[in-house]
Amino acid sequence: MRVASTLNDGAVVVAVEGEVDLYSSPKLRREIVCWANKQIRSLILDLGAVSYMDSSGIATLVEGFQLVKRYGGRFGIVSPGPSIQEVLRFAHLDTIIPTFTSVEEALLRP
Amino acid sequence: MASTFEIKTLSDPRFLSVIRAATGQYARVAGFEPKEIEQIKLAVDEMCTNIIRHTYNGDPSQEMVLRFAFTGRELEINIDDFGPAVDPRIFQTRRPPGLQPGGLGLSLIRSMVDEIELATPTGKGNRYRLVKYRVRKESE
Repeated sequence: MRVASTLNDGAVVVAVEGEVDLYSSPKLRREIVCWANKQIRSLILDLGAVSYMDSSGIATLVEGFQLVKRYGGRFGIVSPGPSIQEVLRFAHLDTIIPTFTSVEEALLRP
Repeated sequence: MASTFEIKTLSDPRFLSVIRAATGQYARVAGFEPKEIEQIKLAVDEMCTNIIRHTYNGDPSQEMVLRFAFTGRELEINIDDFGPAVDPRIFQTRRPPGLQPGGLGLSLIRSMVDEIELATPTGKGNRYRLVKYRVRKESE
């Protein structure tokens, strides 16, 4: 799994590629925590290139959402695939974690 | 006669991707639809993750054995660990929905397969039996 972060006028887009599981999710978590500790205004995870995510990945998303909301920042995810959407729906997180169809949409939303 | 396949692996999280790939390919050969294949992969992955984290407390040097058997109508996957016996009631607890970082894995497994059962075959270790039914298409 790869992560690549881009800073964009106070917002960070973390592009995630590959499979997120017990082995790789700590790497994603470290990236999210790093930006949350800087209290970045918006933290957007681009999941368009994520081919698989299990509950450890979902837990990482939830933790990131909670960390960012705690200081009043914005957290969102972009383009989760159908399998990830199914898991989010099952966990009733689809209505809690803001989801966008593109990075541009995520950055424009207030 | 069932078509069988076995994986013997360490409880090292690095190998979860290998387990998923093999599971996915086996389910594909067995004729499951793409969505069902993803469900089977997720269930097996979550079960192995659960074993690594909770039964083996993250120790990557322990052993797991996965046995796949497809009868033509159902895929049965038995996943063995060799750790302390697990309380069978773990499959009965329901995770409340919403913002909790953990506890999702077992609920997901229950939702992704048709049957799930815990056994302690020899009094040591645990055997998790997952079953996914295959619905035949009319053309078959």
